[in-house]
Amino acid sequence: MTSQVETKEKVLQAAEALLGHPDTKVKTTARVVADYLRGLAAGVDEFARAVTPEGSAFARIEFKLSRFIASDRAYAFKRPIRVTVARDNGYFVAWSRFLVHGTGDTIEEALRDLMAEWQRHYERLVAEEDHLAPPLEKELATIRRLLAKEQDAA
Amino acid sequence: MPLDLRDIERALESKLGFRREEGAKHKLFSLYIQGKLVAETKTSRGSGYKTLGEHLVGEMAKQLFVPHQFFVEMVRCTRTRADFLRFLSKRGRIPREKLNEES
Repeated sequence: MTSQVETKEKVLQAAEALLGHPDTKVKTTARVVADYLRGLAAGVDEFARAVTPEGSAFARIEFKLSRFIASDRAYAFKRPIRVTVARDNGYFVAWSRFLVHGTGDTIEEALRDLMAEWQRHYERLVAEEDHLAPPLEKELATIRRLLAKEQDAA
Repeated sequence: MPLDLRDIERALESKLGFRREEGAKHKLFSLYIQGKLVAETKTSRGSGYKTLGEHLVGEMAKQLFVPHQFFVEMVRCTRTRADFLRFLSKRGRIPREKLNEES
């Protein structure tokens, strides 16, 4: 039986072999897949275009994120948070278990907006801590339970 | 079921009593009942958001703690603010005494 590691190595070798392909589209796809398999940062939209026939026109994608990177801070979670991004009505909308969403013209824009809005949401809950109705008290308690640490994004 | 952005914003602010704050990219809507923050949601600026689709409407409904169809009915004026507050109270989202003070 072929292990996942062996499969990954084989796919990586195949992608690397295609890096010199004369067709630009094939070459780009190979580069994105190879970068991803090497553990390098791969743009979500670029990756989706490379590996799905519909490109970024696909309907829905799910991630598990261990960190939310907002404008000036990063928030690490004790367990990865499931994030869904779906094409809605000419734009993308991103959401997670929290009571906030993000929107954007691309998947990455929607994700960035979700994280920025999540930070605003969290800071608002903290600022209003003594004036929260029960469901938002619960939301703040959930966030605090899940947060491992905050750090400057820089 | 897609909804018109203007209808949603009108329902949130004029009908349901949400406070509106203007941001660069979004408009934030917050509902306070007797000084308590009960719910908040937002709408996005830009020409691409004139009509909101299923997913976004669903997320906004979740942020208001109501089922999707209930949210649609509030926007379409077949549900009132009183219906909304009663729904929240029945599910313990706001204390019953707060609801009584409202009415």
